[in-house]
Amino acid sequence: MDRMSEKQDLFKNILSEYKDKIFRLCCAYVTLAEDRKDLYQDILMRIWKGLDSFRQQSSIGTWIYRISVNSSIDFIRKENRKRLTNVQIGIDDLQIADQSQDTEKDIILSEKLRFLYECMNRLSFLDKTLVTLYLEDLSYKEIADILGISENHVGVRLHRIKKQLNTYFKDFEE
Amino acid sequence: MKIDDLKKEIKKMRAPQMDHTMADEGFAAFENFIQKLKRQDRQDERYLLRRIFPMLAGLILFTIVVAVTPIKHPVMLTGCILILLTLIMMLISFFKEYSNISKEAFGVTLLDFLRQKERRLVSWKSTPLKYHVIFSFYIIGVFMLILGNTAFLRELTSIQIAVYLGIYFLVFLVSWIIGERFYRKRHIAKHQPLLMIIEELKDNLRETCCRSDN
Repeated sequence: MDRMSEKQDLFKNILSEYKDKIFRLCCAYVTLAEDRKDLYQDILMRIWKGLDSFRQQSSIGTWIYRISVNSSIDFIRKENRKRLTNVQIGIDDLQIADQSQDTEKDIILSEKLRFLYECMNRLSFLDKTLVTLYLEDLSYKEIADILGISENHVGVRLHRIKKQLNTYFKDFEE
Repeated sequence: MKIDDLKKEIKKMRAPQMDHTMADEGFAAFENFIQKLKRQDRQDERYLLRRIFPMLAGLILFTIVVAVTPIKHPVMLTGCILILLTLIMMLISFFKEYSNISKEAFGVTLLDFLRQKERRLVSWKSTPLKYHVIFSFYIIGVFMLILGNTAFLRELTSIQIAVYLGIYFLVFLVSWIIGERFYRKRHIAKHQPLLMIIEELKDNLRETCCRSDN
């Protein structure tokens, strides 16, 4: 098997395992559906480009999350400019998989997720990143490896963000 | 509702079914996406060629011109060597610059990424001094080549030629300064917002460290 087909196979495996995770990360940073698609494609492009230089010093998951977070910073500058004209948060077009037959349940779920993203939009880039990675079930160590800070720092910051988000949720329930 | 309760729920969100999210849609779509990526790779190579090719073409042309021109004066020879050396140095610099661009590491930690990005953006705030120096030597080489020409030396006594040369040199100097000013303006407009984001993020990361250390 030549190098190119090996690369293609690896990329194919990465896509099938991580595409949804990458997309959820994009949702945290970008509010417009179009921008989300652009960012998502941009990240995939960088993963493809970076595959040749991936040295397996970190796990593939950590490496992919690092690329996703770092690429988002480049993208945010563009998004910030748009935000001046698009203040509305449009997360209505979230794709919900495995939709149940119970429409009411689905509506409640979309509503909850939309509210979650609205709350996350009030957080800084770093806090958004932390909470998104936490929601993806990553350990403190993995989050620390992605951001370049210590596990202890991740814990302290996450504790504060959770408290803040839970206050927002209480308001939502009331 | 608590943040931990949403962990399970959020995983029900899936990436949109775009033509390149091959997994559920078969191999053809994936192949399509790979083709797009390869096209992008080729575009990067073309970018390299656009920067390097004029320099390379100049180098080859100049070598041909020097090879067929009789060099009768040591000043002319020195000018030729200067031009040749500066063209080669420019070529090497462009190659190095390109390899730095393509090396931009996205697979590093956020903190390292921010540091690298900031360093690069700040160092590109103006044309690096190295390029100014190389270009100055190039121009000196061109003047030496003209001045060393025996036909030109015969005419050098004429005031008219001195005036032409003076005007040419002045226009050249002014356009050089204006070009540099525009470059800086463009750079600031393009990269300042990103530099501000980077600064804010670095502050945030530092703040995290300080608060937990206390």
